[in-house]
Amino acid sequence: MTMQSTIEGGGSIGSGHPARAWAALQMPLIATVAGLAVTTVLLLTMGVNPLDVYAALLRGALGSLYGISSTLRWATPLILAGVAVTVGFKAGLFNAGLSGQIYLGGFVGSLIGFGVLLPAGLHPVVAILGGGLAGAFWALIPALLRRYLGASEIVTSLMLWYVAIGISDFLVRQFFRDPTSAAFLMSVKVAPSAILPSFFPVGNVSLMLFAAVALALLMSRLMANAKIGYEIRMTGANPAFAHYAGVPTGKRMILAFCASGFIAGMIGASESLGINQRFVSQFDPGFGFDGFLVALLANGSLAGCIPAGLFLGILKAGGMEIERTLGVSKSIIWILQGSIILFVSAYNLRSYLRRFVAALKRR
Amino acid sequence: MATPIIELVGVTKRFGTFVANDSIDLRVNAGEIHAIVGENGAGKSTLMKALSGLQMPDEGQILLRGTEVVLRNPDVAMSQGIAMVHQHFSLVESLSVAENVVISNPPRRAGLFQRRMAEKQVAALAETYGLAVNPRQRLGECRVGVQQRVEILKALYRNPDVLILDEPTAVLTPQETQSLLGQLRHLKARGKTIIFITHKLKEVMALADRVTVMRAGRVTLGVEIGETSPSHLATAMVGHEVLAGRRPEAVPLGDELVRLENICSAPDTEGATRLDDVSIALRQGEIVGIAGVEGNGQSELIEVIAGMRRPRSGRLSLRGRDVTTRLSPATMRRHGVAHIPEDRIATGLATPAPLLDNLIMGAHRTAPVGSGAWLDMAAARTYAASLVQSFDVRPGNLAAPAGSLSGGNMQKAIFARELSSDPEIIIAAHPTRGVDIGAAEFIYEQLLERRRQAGIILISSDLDEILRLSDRIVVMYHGRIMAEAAPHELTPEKLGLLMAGITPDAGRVDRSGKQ
Repeated sequence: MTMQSTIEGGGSIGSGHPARAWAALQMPLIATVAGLAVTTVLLLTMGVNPLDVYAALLRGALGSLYGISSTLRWATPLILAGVAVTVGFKAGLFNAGLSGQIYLGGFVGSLIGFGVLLPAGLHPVVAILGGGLAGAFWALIPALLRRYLGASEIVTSLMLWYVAIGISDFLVRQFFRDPTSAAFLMSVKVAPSAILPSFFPVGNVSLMLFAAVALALLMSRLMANAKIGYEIRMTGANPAFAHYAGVPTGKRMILAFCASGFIAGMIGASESLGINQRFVSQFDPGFGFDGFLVALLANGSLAGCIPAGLFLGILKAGGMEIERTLGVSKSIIWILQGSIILFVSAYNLRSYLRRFVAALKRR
Repeated sequence: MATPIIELVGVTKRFGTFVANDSIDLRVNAGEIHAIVGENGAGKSTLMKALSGLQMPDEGQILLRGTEVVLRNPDVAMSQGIAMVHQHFSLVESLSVAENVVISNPPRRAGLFQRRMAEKQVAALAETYGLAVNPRQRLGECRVGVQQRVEILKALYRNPDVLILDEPTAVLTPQETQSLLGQLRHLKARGKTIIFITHKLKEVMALADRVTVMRAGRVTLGVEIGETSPSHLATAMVGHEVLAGRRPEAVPLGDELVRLENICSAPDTEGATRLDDVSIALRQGEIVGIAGVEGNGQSELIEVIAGMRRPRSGRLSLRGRDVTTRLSPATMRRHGVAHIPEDRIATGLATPAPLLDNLIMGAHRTAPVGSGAWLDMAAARTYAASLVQSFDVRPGNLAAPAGSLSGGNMQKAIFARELSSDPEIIIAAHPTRGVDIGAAEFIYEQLLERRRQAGIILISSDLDEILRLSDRIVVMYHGRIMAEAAPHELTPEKLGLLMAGITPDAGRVDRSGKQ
């Protein structure tokens, strides 16, 4: 729970003011620079020129139309995952089961994609909302367990991940398997009307990108300025206070956790409908955990999940290029990501830095 | 006269401008049981912290067997033969009794802990002092009374000459209390000097050789037990000047707002007190003060009225309407209840959130702050700024976290928020605890002013506060109502005795056997 309290700390960060926006950005920026420094040292000891690596990273992610499409493709689920995690944080909850909700959302989204006949414009919308509902339902279980039995939502939601995999894979294997694919477990293709179209000239960047950005902004505004968002934030900041003040804290927690699950479910559905155009077993490369990275980097700000998601999208897209052109394993990207997160979580880093700078000035 | 084992001369301790101990003189003779009594906040614990090395006094001397000592930290005090048993146990639940006792200096061989040896030592220690424990039992499995014995054994393990016990009976049942008193007599027979802090007069009379009474940071009485009586002690504890203070004029009483009938509750959490058949009514235009030593059910009572604790039986009605089955903070607030809670940080505020968010709570539901599903942020800021101004919350930076305010300003912020809804019923718990004098005066004015339109229930461990503000006083003891009276009907003796569970007329202990 330490990580959670670290993040919640900032009641309503990111609500407008330029000064406050800068204060909220400080930590992620410091952490990114510190993470780059660690990675640079590591590269130097390996005898690799770090500048080459960072150039390759940027070239791969932003240097070509294809690179940009790859960055945006990864940023879409990452932004959504960051928003899902942060919405939970706002209520003081830790949705560790994001992956399960994504998985089930992916299955239900594809199910609606190949199982139902709808007009082209409507079909993907219904399928994605259906996937969202599946994710929300999957989040409702741990939320209720927490509310009525006091079970930690961290543990129960994480464990339900395995159940989600089991249920989805079982149903696909039994009823919806694509008979032409023997090696991989995947469902039949979704109907053409259900496919989420790509709007980019190259690659596969679905319209979901716009939905992700819009959702991040909408949630940001809801949390900051809507009554319900205010009550959720207060429940997260101090549940005893919210309860004493007459806020139905149980309901607010359940609502926030289900909203988190809903967004997670939409990630799965959009992967199924946009990228794979069917349900593919183990389709999720770890968006659930990446969501925590995005949320940490965004430092409690919902709108901040957009730049944070884009940043991690750049790392993901650029990593391939590093491996391809320099022969350096793309795990260097994971080390970079990991060290950035370590520094973001190092809450006291800023005060150490300030003291360090002050000491330098005294010299 | 022999040299006292402990002598304090002019010991003074200040916290900011607050004087917790004002030039205290105290003599404790070797081999006696010395009781120190006084209300909460009288300075007993501060004094004992000085004696056990937890806090250095600002002025004055501490003499041990006639020689001045500087007790820089608990280790120094310990090596001088002074050990303290704290009110809140400092024990490890997952360790065994023996491990807990020897934790300060465990028997070791070649750097390894000798469990057998520890168990043998603890068994011997328990035998010597007549404190029955099972050294192998896990502490978490022990009853509270046994845990206390473990805490005492832990202090005795270092073989001190002086043992200080801070309110040792606060958490014990009457039976456990009886057995503890016997054990303390046994310790005295073994030559230990015992300093015993309490506010229970019955225990003092039963146990002590000498008693020192403290009040508002000063010693008001030091006397042999044979030369005093419970009412004498009660007077010294509560003080005469209290009743001399001018009371505000009464205002005409209006409708009955709250009625509690035969409310009983079970202790649901650890340390909670059972409410036993409590009936109280509150009318518009009056302040009902609930007096009692802390932990006698006052907190539980206001939690019931605030909708935060469900009674097991009994009836609670607001303006004649039964709300027992719908008790929740939301219900009570809909019916015009405002609540200044006991713990402003744990309950009264969301300390990490900005002051703005803390001030608009409640007001956010209706116009002008709330408009439809949204908050009108401009209106919210105007509203919060007006609260900050009229209650003089400093600094009134709405964007800063509420937790950055001082205690007094946090309390003013809570008052501002709670009173701004023009409540009909106000529950105020320890409204001035930890608040400076200026803010306290302001809070008193607010409460007296609000009394014209509302009914107020006040609990406080500060008797002066209760006596000064209340139109009616209800005394609670062990979850029951001992008496209900107008302030002028209560002499300090009477009040002190009632709070100690003694009915003055009968002159004997009442109902204390029940738990």
